[in-house]
Amino acid sequence: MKKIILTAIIITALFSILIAQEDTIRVSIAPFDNTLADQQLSLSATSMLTQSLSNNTKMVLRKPEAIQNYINLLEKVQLGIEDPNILKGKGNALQIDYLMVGTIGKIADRYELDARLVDINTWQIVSAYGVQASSFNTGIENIAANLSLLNKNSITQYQEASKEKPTAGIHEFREYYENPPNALYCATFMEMLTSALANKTTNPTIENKFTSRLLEEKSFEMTGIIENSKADHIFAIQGITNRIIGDIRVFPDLITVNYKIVNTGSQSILFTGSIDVVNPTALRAVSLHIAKIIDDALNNKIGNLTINTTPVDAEIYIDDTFAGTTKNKSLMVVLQRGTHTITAKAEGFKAFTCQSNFEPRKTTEIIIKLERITERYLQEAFVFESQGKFDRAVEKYEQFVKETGNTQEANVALYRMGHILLNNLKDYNKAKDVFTSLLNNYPEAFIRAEGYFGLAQSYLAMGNKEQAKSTINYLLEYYPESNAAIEAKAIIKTFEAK
Amino acid sequence: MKKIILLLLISFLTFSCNKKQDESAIVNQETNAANRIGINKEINKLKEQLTKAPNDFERAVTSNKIAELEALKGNVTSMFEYSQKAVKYQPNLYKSRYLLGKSYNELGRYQDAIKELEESIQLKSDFAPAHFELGNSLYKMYNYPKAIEEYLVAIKLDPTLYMAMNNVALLYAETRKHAEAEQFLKKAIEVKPDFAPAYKNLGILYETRLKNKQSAIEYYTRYLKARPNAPDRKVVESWIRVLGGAL
Repeated sequence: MKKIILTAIIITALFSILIAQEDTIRVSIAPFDNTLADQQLSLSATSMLTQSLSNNTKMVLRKPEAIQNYINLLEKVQLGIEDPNILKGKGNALQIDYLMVGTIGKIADRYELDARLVDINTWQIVSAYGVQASSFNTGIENIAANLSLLNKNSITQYQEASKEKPTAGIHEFREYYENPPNALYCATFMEMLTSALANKTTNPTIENKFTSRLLEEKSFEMTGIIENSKADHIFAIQGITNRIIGDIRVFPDLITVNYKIVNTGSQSILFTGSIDVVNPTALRAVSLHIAKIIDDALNNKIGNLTINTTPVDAEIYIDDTFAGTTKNKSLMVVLQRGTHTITAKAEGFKAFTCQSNFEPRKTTEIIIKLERITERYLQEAFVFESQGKFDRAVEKYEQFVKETGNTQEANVALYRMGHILLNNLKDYNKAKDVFTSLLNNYPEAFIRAEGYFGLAQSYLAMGNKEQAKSTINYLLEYYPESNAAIEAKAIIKTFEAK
Repeated sequence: MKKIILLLLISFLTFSCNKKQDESAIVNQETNAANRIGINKEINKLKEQLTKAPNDFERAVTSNKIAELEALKGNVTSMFEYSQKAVKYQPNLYKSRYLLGKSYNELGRYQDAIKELEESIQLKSDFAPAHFELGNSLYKMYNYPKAIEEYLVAIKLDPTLYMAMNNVALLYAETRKHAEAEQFLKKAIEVKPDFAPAYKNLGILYETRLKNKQSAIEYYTRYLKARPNAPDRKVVESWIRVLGGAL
């Protein structure tokens, strides 16, 4: 009987140990990086955290010495000597699931400490802590306190929640070189943003110490433009769907942080943003703020639009802003969530405008078939004009403008109409209105110059010499090489003669 | 005792978290403060002027000035918005066309950039920055021979354009004209001795192309001196060590 009880106790104990082990996480702490060139601080960080976590029952802590070869390899990767990919998939051999990596920085006398727990097999961050502290010890204690709350469940839940979501990885932030500032913030800011992204977003974030070295080959540095590199391709191969890049510009009285989200698949810029701060200690808050914006952009805001047109090579305007042409059969653009106005224009075709609603993370396709402009009204107007039937000609030009909307062809009709009203029908007021409408369409420079000339003549005919003179002066000053300007000079001479 | 310490730490953590929740407030406060000073003060003044501009030309000039300041800050969205407005109000301003082209480059729309920059050059053929920016667009389109041409025009028009010298040197290196690459990088340093990228690029050129270890070590070292807080300091130091140089 005793034997049975003893056996039962042993089995129960073994079972409990097994369950307990299943609930624990196997972790090791890598030496912290250090932007202060103070090796002692790095050692202190590792030793303080190791000490603090050694009694944690939810963790099995492997001392850094036990994975020394791996740490050496990590250091070589950090120096660009080894390929980062050799760090992946070593979990079982090392008997750890997660590695704690971190960085110690300092901005304006405040310690900026970042520690992140990464999945040893994928380098996805599963937990991150970014701390700003007045003393180094306080910062590390804060991180240790956060770490003590970690458990396997919370990590599993986090990894489950982030499955199949767009992945983000920070690539680089560049300092602004034109006027080198005294203080440089990029390296520390990248650490802050990596922690913030992992903390504030539901998107999987790949560890910066891994991503920033993916391209650390001896490559030349262009200025004023980002190098043609294989960055997008390399990130895409690693399963990182979005690359975060940016720069920090330091002015005497403010700091500007600019950032971009680049989709590594389509190699298109999804989002750009910019934030100004006065105080460099606010950069931690800025990193959290930007992380939220990136999360929002990736999950709630951005939708894709593909526009196909017949004919091809139409100009596409979105919310009155030129978005590109459908030269390569279609145009792909990234849009913010909501309703947008899309206009397609092509020479010889009626402008087409529609409104469309965009949902985040979806691609909407619009097929536009532009209708060829029937030049019937225009031809009729020309015939009436040549026959001296000016009322009828104006009527036809008006019909043509109404039908064609804001197109180059409509601008030609407006110009002809104004000309008839001014010179033949002597309806100067209406001529003035027509030329003003023409100018408000902001046509090409040549027609615009003709529009100003027509407007000046209308004013003159109405007896408004002041307005006529100022319009002509404007025309001569800003469109001096146009035919209209040459004719306008003659009018100015008559002013001067009088 | 341990429990008490843990509780204290968690209270401290909660306090820290509450402080962190204020990050939006901190950013708002900072942005508001930043809006009232320096370059932003100037931008806001111009935006106010824009609403009162008497004609299209004034509107164009004011929009152009805003775009220029936004370009200096690197705010691509605003630079694009205001340069586009400037071009709409006055199509004959070469600077607005140039800024619009530069915005397109920043947004990755290189074909549109080329179109605008060519317009800018047509309006003012001796405007060196437009040639430099066009060189950048052509480079992104992998048209290296044309990009080199544009960079060279830019340098001829403005012999102090060290960024163009750097870029043309790198394209020469790509096309195996190493002597020319070396010459232009050294020229860039001569024009602007604190221009750090040229030192690093020269180091890479000496090490990887010209196989001149000593010069490579020299220029990597000079790079670290020119950029004391270089984010890649550790990496470059390791390059020097591998080449047998001393730090």
